[in-house]
Amino acid sequence: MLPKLHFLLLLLLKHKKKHLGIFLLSALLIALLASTLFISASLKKDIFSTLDAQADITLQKYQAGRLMNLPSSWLDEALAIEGVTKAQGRIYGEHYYEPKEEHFLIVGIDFYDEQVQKNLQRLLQNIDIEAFLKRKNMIIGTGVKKFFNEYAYNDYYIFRPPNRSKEKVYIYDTLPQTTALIGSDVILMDIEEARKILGIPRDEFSDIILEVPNKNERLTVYEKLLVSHFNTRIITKEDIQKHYENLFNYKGGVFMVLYSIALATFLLILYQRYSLITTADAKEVAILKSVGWSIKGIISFKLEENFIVAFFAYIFGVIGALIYVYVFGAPLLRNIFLGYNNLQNDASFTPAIHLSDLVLLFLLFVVPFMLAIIIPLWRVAITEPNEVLK
Amino acid sequence: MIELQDLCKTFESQNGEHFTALHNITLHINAGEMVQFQGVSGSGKSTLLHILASLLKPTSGRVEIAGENIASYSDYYASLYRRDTVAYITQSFHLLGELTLRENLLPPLVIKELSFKEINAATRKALEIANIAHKADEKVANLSGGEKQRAVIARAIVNDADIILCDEPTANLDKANALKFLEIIKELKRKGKTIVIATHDPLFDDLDIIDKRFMLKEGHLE
Repeated sequence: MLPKLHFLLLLLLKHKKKHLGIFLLSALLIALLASTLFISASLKKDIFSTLDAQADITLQKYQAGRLMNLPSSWLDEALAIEGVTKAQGRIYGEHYYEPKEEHFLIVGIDFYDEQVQKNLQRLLQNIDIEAFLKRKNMIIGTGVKKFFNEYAYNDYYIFRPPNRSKEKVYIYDTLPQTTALIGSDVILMDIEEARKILGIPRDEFSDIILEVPNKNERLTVYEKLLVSHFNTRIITKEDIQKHYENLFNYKGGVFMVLYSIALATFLLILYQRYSLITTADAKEVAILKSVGWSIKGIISFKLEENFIVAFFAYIFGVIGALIYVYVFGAPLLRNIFLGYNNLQNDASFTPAIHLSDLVLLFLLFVVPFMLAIIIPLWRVAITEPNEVLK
Repeated sequence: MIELQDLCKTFESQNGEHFTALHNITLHINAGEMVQFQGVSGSGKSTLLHILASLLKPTSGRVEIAGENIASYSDYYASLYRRDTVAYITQSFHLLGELTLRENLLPPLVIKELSFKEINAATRKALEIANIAHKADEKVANLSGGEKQRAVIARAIVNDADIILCDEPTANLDKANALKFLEIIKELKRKGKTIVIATHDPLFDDLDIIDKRFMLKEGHLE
């Protein structure tokens, strides 16, 4: 270690009480903003990885402002449009879970479809489709599982379709935690079983999903669908992604504004704190000057001292945020970011740390920190030593 | 070595009043001499020493040290002068209380960008001359008054400066410690240092090693 650095660390330890408050406040601010960045990045990562498996275009029928089932004839019409390589009807709807007064989302899927199988295998590595279809099975989201378990529905659950029959469906598996953000309240089952439970006629679907591999053709397909059926809502994968992205950017933006206000207040405190020239400060400067330190040397030494404080506050803040978000699951902040689907979301945060975010955070904090103290430090450094040294 | 010509220092108070602390001081001190400035409190002794240490600029006049007018130095050159040429011993023990005695000797050495080996050698030598080596690793806050004074001396001489300025060096010492201080000062004079002492302590009155005595009265040299 260099002698000057050694002396710097000695003085830092000597001034530990003076720096402690600033250090803690700085670390807290950093932790707050870093947590926001980590949560936002993690949510985006989870959403985009989940949405990647979503359909390119979703077609829904609206009538009098309400979502209606659409006829199966629309499938053929959609498939006839140039660029559409696949059209598939979907069955889904809400199931009211009386014990908890909550709604689950039942989604019927065609387990014989190759793409569906691939997607499922990506989500659940050990899924055996054949075994799944041998009896009435379902795959449930983490939120659903939690509620089922509360009432000891550990192996199966009995649904009551509108025709007053009973449908006993076994729990095959639970969706992974990474899908919890948008799949917490989901129940996946065979399309025919879902149709029965939701009471949807054989020639109708809840909506239709289309596969349009060429991104450039999606807009044309979108326009053609719009022309052929005026009472439709067409949602593209990008729309869904944008919706979620905007949502989290908006929430992140609110935090950025709050952070800016907190940072400005903090810098003001910092400025005032360093503007107070204590007897001890004046004495230290007088000693340094009397043994040959220049004003420039004192300012740069004090800047180095404070840079170490700011740097370690940054490191502590970032580590604190990592623990807060990824170990403890960001209590308090998670509710602000996640909000609710039908069920309270119990998504955990997948680590998503971008170096650029950390660099930005460093610059947003350390640079204003150093700028706020440079003038007060200069004032301390130019203190006349003759009065102190008597 | 030290040449003062028509040196004046005037202070301006916050309400705009002027106070002249030094009036047209002209004197000469040869290299290796020990001189004493006598005078009551407020006579201008400390102000004169601060000017000699380049901690204060004179209002007018010349302050020549080894042929150079240090009054015209910028802060940077003044700091080099304080680092290499002059050592300043104060009446109050201005030390960094939380650090050990050895660590208190670091400030004048780290700015010279010396290695740890060189720093240790210089520190050991200074502590031995100041007769305080046995307390090197003690926190200075725990030292007695006499030990603190010797710690200040050790720090002042650690860079082997040619000129040593002492401002009321025995004011806060008992007689035994004051005598120890005199022994150190004598040793420094034997080493050829130029020593300037500002004091009205009668202990210095009969000291035969003092080459010149100057009396300051209300800023005038008598």
